This record gives sequence, C-alpha cells and structure tokens, in this order.
Amino acid sequence: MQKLFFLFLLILLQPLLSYAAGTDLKPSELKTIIIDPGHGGSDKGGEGSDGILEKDVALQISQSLKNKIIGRIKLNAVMTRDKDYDVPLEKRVTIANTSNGDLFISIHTGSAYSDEISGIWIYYMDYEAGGDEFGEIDTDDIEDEKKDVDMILKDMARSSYVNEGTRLSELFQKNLTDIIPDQKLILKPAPISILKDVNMPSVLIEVGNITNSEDVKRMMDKEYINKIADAILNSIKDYSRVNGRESLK
Amino acid sequence: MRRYIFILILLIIGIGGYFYLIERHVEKSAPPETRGKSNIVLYFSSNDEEYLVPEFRQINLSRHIEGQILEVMEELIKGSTVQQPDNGKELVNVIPEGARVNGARLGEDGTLFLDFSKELKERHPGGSWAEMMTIYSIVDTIIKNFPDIEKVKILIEGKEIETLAGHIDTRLPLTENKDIVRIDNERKR
Repeated sequence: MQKLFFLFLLILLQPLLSYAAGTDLKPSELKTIIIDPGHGGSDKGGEGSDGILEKDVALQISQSLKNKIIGRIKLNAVMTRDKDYDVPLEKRVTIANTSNGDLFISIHTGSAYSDEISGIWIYYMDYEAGGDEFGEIDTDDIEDEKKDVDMILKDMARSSYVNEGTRLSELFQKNLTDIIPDQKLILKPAPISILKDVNMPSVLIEVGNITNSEDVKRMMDKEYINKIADAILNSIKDYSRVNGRESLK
Repeated sequence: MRRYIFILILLIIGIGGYFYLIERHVEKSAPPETRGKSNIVLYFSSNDEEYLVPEFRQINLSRHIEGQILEVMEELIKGSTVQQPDNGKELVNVIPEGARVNGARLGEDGTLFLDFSKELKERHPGGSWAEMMTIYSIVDTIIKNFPDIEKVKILIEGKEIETLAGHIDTRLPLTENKDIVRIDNERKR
C-alpha cells in the first residue's frame, strides 16, 4: 500500500522530478555535439566488393561534419575516435556522457544480403523493443524503493531522449531529401545499443549500402560526403530552432 | 522388507510423475500437429530487406521441446522455399551461410538460451538493419512456434555477445518484435 502511494506520488510529481534531474522535456541549448564514427581498427564494419570499408567512410564523413560544426555554427564537436583504431561501444558511451554532449550522432554505412539494395537508413531509438532491462518491481523495503525512484527517473529521462532523438531523425530525413533528392531514404526505430546507452538524444545514420555498387560510387565521391555532412549540419541547426530558442547561424 | 517396498513405491511414483510433467510440458509447448507433421512458421526477409515475412511449412518434430527448437531452427537455416507471387523469387534468408545451432536450453522463466556457431557473427554482412533482420528472424520464429517461450538469448559458441554486428544489443534476452513483420497484404512494395 505504502509503495502504491509512493509510485502514485511520483507520477504526480513527474514534471518537477524531470526538472530536478536535469532532464527537462524541452531540448536544452546546444553546446556540444558528439560524433561517433562507427567501427574502427580491427573492427572494419561492412566491406564493399572493391575493398571499401565502412570504418573509413564513417571517419571521413565524421571529420567533415566536425569541421562544419566548429567552423560554421561554432559549437563544440567531440569525436569518439579521430583515427583508425578500436573503440569498444562502452568506451564510446563514456566519451559521449563525460563530454556532456547535447546530441549524439553515430555515422555508419549499411549492408544488405542482396547487392541490389540501396539507400540511406536513419535510425532512432526504439523505446519498446529489446530486452527487459529494468526487470520487475516486486519488493517493499526502502532500499528497493530508492532503486525504484532511480529507475523511474532514468526511464523518464530516457523517454525524453527518445522523443528528441526521433525528432532529430525526422530532421535528418527532411534535410537529406532536400540535398540528395535522388537517394532512397528510410527512417526506422531500432533497439541500437549505443543509441540506448548515451544520456542524450541520439541518431544513427547509414549513409549508403556498402554492399551496393551504386552506393559505393557515391560514397567514394567527395561531393557526396560533403552533401551528407551539410544535411546533418542543417538538421542540427533546425533542431536548435525549436521552442523559440535562438537559432544557430 | 516393508521398507524396500515403500522405497520402490516412492521411486515408481517419482519416475512416473517426472515423465508425466515432461509430457505435459512438451504438449503445451509444441506447435500444432497435422497428420503426423507439425505446422511451423518461419520468418525470412522480404526481397526489399525491409520486413520479415512469415512462411509456413510442415515438418516432423521430435517429442522434446529442445529437440523441436533445433529442428525448427534447421528449417530456418535452410532458407525460403516458396516463390513470391509478385516476383517469382524466394524470400531472403538472413542467417549467414555456414551458421548452425550448437544447442538450446530452456530456462524456468521462459527464456530460451540459443547457442550458435561463430559463423553467425563472423559471416554477418554488417549493417544495423541486416543485423535486426537476422536477430528477429531467429527470435520471432522461436516465439511464434513455442508459445511458452517469452524471451530468447542468443549466444555464440556458448558465450554472451554484446552485439552480433556492432549495433543491436544482445546482452539481454529479446522478446518478439511484431513491428518488423509484415504479412502479404500489408507489405510495402
């Protein structure tokens, strides 16, 4: 009974608790963008038939994006790797969270079983799918209630990040359509590990399928890489414009 | 003498009870049977590799659930055999070539531990969506055929893996993903 009352109170106080936890449902002012070039080092990621590697394409686009973020919109940009070396997923999450990132953008290429499948894939965190991380609440002692509060606060924060990440992914879709109208674009929710673990809104983009020869041609073209980076930059700018905040130049 | 008879009776009751419980468990978990063969459903990828699509098949299944699981997974690994009416192609098999199931163990809480050979990871083409398709082709096939199984934990050579190809979290047991499945009249063209 005591526990039910406690949980009911928590629900009533949700907005206040969100604010206290620093997880206001509205996005905060952007200061630092985390760029995560997928794979690296011994982890090559996907591999094209002509030897092109996912880890190299991801790094190239990430570096272009970093330069644009620093040069054009004067924000901090932190990369989870800036050269070709191994970085475990856990380390990437630590880098993102300890750098106090406001947005997390993971850059990859896609792969398919058929070499005919082409396109850009954008993923936002799927809140529902995946494992049962938090387990069941079934005990009554005070220690467990403290854990429950932590879990509920974490869950509320995560819900906010998912909403904001979804919005950012939609902006990716809009801006990529504007800049690269001839490429097929697919927007999907997915229980991607790194999107779930970072404490900020997150999006993962696969800039083309490395198993498709036409996509590989595009990804080897500097102009295409430049366009992808521009579309992501414009998405960050659009994201910062919401809720009457001062827009980035 | 009476003591020996008593122990014998206890043993008979114990062994009988054990087999009765196992029999009930298998009956409850097994897919429905038709003329000696059982109807099973397998999930393969649509030809555009955006969705999983069910394919139905009839196979002979053994009596015990863990054997049945291996038999259903063998069918999944064999791949699709039905041509699609719209393009004459079979559905796409999203289990990498050479991958096989080493074993299956059902936990008491309805979690199935399914151990694959290293090829499932090593020969995976990569990519988030290809990884999603492989994982949920396995998970959804298991959960749809065995209603008592609620979650599936994928292992590689007996060990937990963080991800199969660098993206989707496989540290925790996974539940059925209905959103990734399309039946014929709902599929995107």
